[in-house]
Amino acid sequence: MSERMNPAKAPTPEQYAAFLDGELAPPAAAAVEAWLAAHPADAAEVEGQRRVLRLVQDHPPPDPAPEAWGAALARVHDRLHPAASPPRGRRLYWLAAGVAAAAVAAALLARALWPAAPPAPAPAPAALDEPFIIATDDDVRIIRMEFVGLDAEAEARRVLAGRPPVPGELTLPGQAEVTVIRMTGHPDEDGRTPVLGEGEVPMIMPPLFAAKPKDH
Amino acid sequence: MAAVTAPCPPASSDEQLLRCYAAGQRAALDELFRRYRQPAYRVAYRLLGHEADALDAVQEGFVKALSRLESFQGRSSFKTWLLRVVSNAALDLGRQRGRREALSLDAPLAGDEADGRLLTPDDAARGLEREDLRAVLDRALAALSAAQRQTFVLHADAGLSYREVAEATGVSIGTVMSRLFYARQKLRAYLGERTTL
Repeated sequence: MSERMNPAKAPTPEQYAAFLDGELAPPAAAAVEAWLAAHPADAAEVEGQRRVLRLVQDHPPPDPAPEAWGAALARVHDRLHPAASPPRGRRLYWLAAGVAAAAVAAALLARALWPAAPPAPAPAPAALDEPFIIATDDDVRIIRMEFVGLDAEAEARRVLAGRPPVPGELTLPGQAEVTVIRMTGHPDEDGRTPVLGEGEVPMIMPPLFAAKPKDH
Repeated sequence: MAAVTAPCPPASSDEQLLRCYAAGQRAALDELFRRYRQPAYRVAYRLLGHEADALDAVQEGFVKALSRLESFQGRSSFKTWLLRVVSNAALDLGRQRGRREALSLDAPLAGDEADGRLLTPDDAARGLEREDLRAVLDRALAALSAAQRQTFVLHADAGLSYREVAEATGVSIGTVMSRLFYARQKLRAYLGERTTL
C-alpha cells in the first residue's frame, strides 16, 4: 500500500483498515498516526477495532474431534467416488430432502411462469431435480433483492436462482437482481430450451422457455 | 492437467497434488484435506456458528472444489479457491438452515447479561466464560451482513491477504478494505456493549 495521505483530511475507511493490518507504507502510516494523535475519538475507534481483531484471533472455533475429521473426509470420498461405497444415512436424508424441495420449487416456479395455465398434474419428483438447477450458488451473485408485487407480469419476470430451498421459503429474484454468468440449457418435455434475452442485464426472458403456443 | 503416474509424496505442492488427484490418485485428496481442513473449518464455523453445519460446509466445499477442477484455472492458489467455495457453501447452508437457533440474538447467555457482569478476555482462563465469550463472538459475527462476515473471516481466521480475499469474493481490494473496516466497526460496537473490550 503506497498511497500517500493528506494529514489535514481524515483517513478513509480503507486507509484505516490497511493501517490496522500493517499494510500501509511508512509515510501513509505516519500520516494516519498523526491524524489519530490529533483526533482521540478516531484513535479510540481504531484501538477498539484492534482489540476486536485480537479477541477474535485469540478465540478460534473449537476444533472438531479427530473422528469427526475422519468421517468428513470419508463422506468427501463417498461423494466424489460414489461407486466405491454405498450411500450413507446422511446422504439419503439430503437426497430425499432435495427431491422434496425440487418438487416444491417446481410447482411454485410453474405457477409463477404460467399463472393462467391450468394446473398440471404433479410429475414424478425424481424427474424434477435436474431441470430446475439452472444455476448453482457459485454461478449467481444476487446484488439486490426487492419485493416487486404479485401482479402476473412481475411474477413472470422472476426466475429461480440457486438451489431449491430445503426448509425455507422460495425466493425468486427479478430481472435486475440477477447477472447470468453461465447457463446450460435443459430442454423441457416439449423440447423447448431456455433463451437468453438481450439488454443491459442478461436475463432468461419471460416466459422462461421459448414462446409457448397460445390456446386462442 | 497432465497425467501423473508416480505416487505423490506428502510434501508435494498443491498443484502437484491436484495433478495426482486428477490422475486418479485418491490419496492426494487425503493430503489436501489434511492441509486445508482447519482453515476451511474455521471459516465455515465462523459463518455458521455450529460444528456439524461447519463440517457439512467443509465437506461440501471439498466436493465442489475437486469436482469442478476445470473451473480452477490456477489464477489463485488452491487454498483461496477452496476457501471461496467453502465460504460460499457455508453462506448457502446458513441461508437454508437460517443459522442455528443457538445464535438467536434474543436468547440470553449463561454468564452474560444474566448476572449483570460484562465478559472480559481474561475470563478465557475459565472454561464456561471462555465458551460464553466465544458465543458472544459468534453472535457479533452473526450481526454482520453476509458479505462483511465472509470478508472478515477469510481475512481474520483464514489469514488470506487483501488480494486473496478479493479473489475469493469477486470484489476489488478497495471493497475488501472497506468491508473490513465496517465489519470491525460493527463488531466493536456489538462487543463493546457485552464485554470489557
